[in-house]
Order: sequence, then structure tokens, then C-alpha cells
Amino acid sequence: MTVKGDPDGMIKVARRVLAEPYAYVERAESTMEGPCRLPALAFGVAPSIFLAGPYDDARDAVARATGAGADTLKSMASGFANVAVAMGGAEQANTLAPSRPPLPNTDIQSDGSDSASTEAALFGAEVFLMADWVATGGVLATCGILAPAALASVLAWALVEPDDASLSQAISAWMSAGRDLDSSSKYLELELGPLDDAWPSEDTSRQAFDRWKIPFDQDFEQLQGDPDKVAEALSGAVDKVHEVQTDFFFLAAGTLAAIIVLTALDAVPFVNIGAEATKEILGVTLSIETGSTVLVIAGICKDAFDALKGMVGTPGSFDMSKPGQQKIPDFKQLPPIQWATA
Amino acid sequence: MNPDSYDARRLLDQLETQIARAQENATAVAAVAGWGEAANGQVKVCVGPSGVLKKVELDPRAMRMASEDLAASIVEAARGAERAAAASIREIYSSTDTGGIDVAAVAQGEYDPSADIEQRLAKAREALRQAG
Repeated sequence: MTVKGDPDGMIKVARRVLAEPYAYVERAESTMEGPCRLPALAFGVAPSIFLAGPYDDARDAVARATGAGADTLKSMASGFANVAVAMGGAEQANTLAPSRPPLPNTDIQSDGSDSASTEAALFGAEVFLMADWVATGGVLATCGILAPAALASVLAWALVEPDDASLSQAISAWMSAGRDLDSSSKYLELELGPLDDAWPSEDTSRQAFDRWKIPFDQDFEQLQGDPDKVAEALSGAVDKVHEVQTDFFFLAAGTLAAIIVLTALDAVPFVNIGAEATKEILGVTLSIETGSTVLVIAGICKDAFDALKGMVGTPGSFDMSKPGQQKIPDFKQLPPIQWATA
Repeated sequence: MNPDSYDARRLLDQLETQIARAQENATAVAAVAGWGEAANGQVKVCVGPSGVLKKVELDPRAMRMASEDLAASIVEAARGAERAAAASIREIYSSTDTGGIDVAAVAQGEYDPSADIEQRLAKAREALRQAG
């Protein structure tokens, strides 16, 4: 089959698809496979049971979809090369390889340094749960010293020790991956612009490509939104945990104020008001409240990660969906690239 | 205290201040003497911070009262003294965070923690219900 057009122009477009568009998607995938990973104990021991499975499943699904997107870009470039051969060009698809254009650095916070913090704060990814946790832990420990019944609260509070560095890194990594996919999409549109000159729209192979590109665009658009969804789920959980921590800090501080007053009164000769019993009751209450706060934090994490489960969907649901309409884009469902023989 | 701007040194300083103030207040409470009177001032009673009777002053004219009236006046004066002591204690703690506890009621053995505790536990249950 002979295709009319400019084979050199087609090869040029194929090479450009394998430059920035491919490089950004490839980097997004590698970000998802690396810095987007979150230790199971990121929110503490108590919520870890809810975190490990759903988060890793969601991350893995989005990473796989991104990898499939990168492969599809490669196939797109090969398809262009095949069309160029059909136009009479000499270069075969197998001579094409992704180039490695220099990309701007990512904004992923990973080392907790001031400059990284500034960048993370710029993108709203810096997490400050640890400061709340330590401050509240200090108040609870003091309560425990003055009223031993409150010691259980210290143990319970230890179950929700957050890992700010990991959370900051994961959130900023997802945001970075999302920006990389956006950049890829913008570059792809830019690089495909010259196709109109090289590949006439009345050609049947070009029409086949245009038909193929509709579901591809849908899948790619969906893929672009997925990292933001995960980042929002994580940020939302962090914000809610922060609110709960702050409320509980003030509750614990109030209890500590009462325990201090009662302890001081008990220590003064001749007053002898028998404050021990009240302190004991306050200590037990604080421990119960701490336990319930730990469960509330675990519940917040469970809700956030259950939302991620919804992203991944259930096995088999992809078969029922058309390209661009699944929960996670599935580039393998795109029609096979055989434009040159269409 | 604001946990968002956590500073261990500052929290410790605040704690020290809280403890020092609590000790000062407790010393002031120990010195509280509540006075009450009855029968036109013929019966005066003084109680300590916990309501324990410290002093009874009877005007000679009070000795001419019927014994039942005198006893009732002493009780009335003692109740007034307790209220005065409680008011003094509340005044001492008026600018101090007591974590919602009525120190005067605690000092006089009238504090029932169950209502406060039940309220706090109800909040905890509600938070759990919403989370769960």
C-alpha cells in the first residue's frame, strides 16, 4: 500500500514523540515506582492495617497504566515510522529509539532540607503532623507523671506517630508525576502539529490514525487526573488527621491544667482536699479519649484509602468498559496500530 | 499552646509557669478563711478552704437566744462562711486555666466529676461514631 505524504516529516514527528512526550511519561512512571511509595507506618501503627493494601494497589495500578501509556507512545512513534516507509521513506521503525532530552528537575521533597521544604510548601505538599504529635505526646506524658492513670494515653498515642518526611515525599511525588503527565500531553500536542503537513487528512491511513487517537486522548486525559486523585486523597487524610490532632491537643492541655491544679492543691498542708480520686478519674478519661482519638485517626486513614480502592476498581470491570471509560486507563484496549495498512 | 508552632523549650517554660502559678494559687487557697454571720451579726463563723470550721464568735447577746435558735444561727453562719470561702477560691483561680474544674467545689468535697466525665466520654463516643 502506498501512502501519500512527506516521509521525512513523519520520521521527524516520530522522533519528537519519543523525545519530551515519552520522557515525561517515563519519568512519571519511575516517580510512581519510587518516591510515590509510602511506608505502611506513614500514619502510625494503628492506621497501617488500612494503608498497606489499598494504597499500594492504587499506586501500582496507576504506575502500570502510566507504563502502558509510555509503551503506547512508543507504538505511536513506530506507527508513524511505518507510515513513513509506506510513503516511500527509508527509515524503519526499529531504528527509532527514545531520546533523552534534559528535563527540568522535579519538585519532590525527599530530604527534609530547607530548600526542599520550600519547594514542597510551594506545592502545598509539606506535612506538619509530627509537631502536633510530639506536642500532644509531651502533654500526655506530663499528665501520666502527675496522674498515673493517664499513662495509658501515652502508649495509645504512640500508635499514631506520623512520618512527615514520607508523607511529604509521597504527596509531592504524586503532584510531580501529575505535572509530568501534563507536560507530556502538552508536548505531544505540540509535536503532533506538523503531522497535518506531512500526512494529508484525506488519506485513509491518516483517518485511521485520527480515529485511533480519540480513545487514546481519552485514556491519556484520564491518566493525567489519576496522580492528582491520589495526592488529594493523601492530602485530605493529612488535613483531617491534623484537625483531630489539634483538637485533641487542646483537650489534653485542658486535662493537664486540671491535673496540675489538683496536684498543687493536694501538696499544700492543711488543705487536704483529696484530689487524688479526681486526678485518677481525669487520667482514666484522658486515656479513653486518647484511645478514641487513635481510632478516629485510623478511621480517617481507612476512609481515605477506601477511596483509593474505588480508583482501582474490581478485577474484570475493565472488560466491560470502553477505552477512556475505565477507572484506570487501559491503553491495551486501544485498537491495534495498523494505520499504514488501513 | 499552639501545636502548629511546636517548640519544646517554649512548652516547657509554659509548663513551669503553669506549675508555679498552681503552687501560688494552692498556697493562697490554704490561707483562705471564709466568714459568715447570722442573727444580725451576733453569730460569726469562720471556715477554712475545705469548709472545716475554724472559729466561732458569739456576741454575749447571742447567749440569751433560745438554744434551738442559736444552733440554727450557727449553721446559717457556717453555710455563709462556706460560700464566702468558695467565692474566695474562685477569685484566686479566676484567671487560671483549671481545665474546666470548679476548684472551689473540689476543695469543699462537692465536686461530682461524673457529669463532666460523662460529657467528655459522650464526645469521644460521637467522634468514634462519626469516624466509624
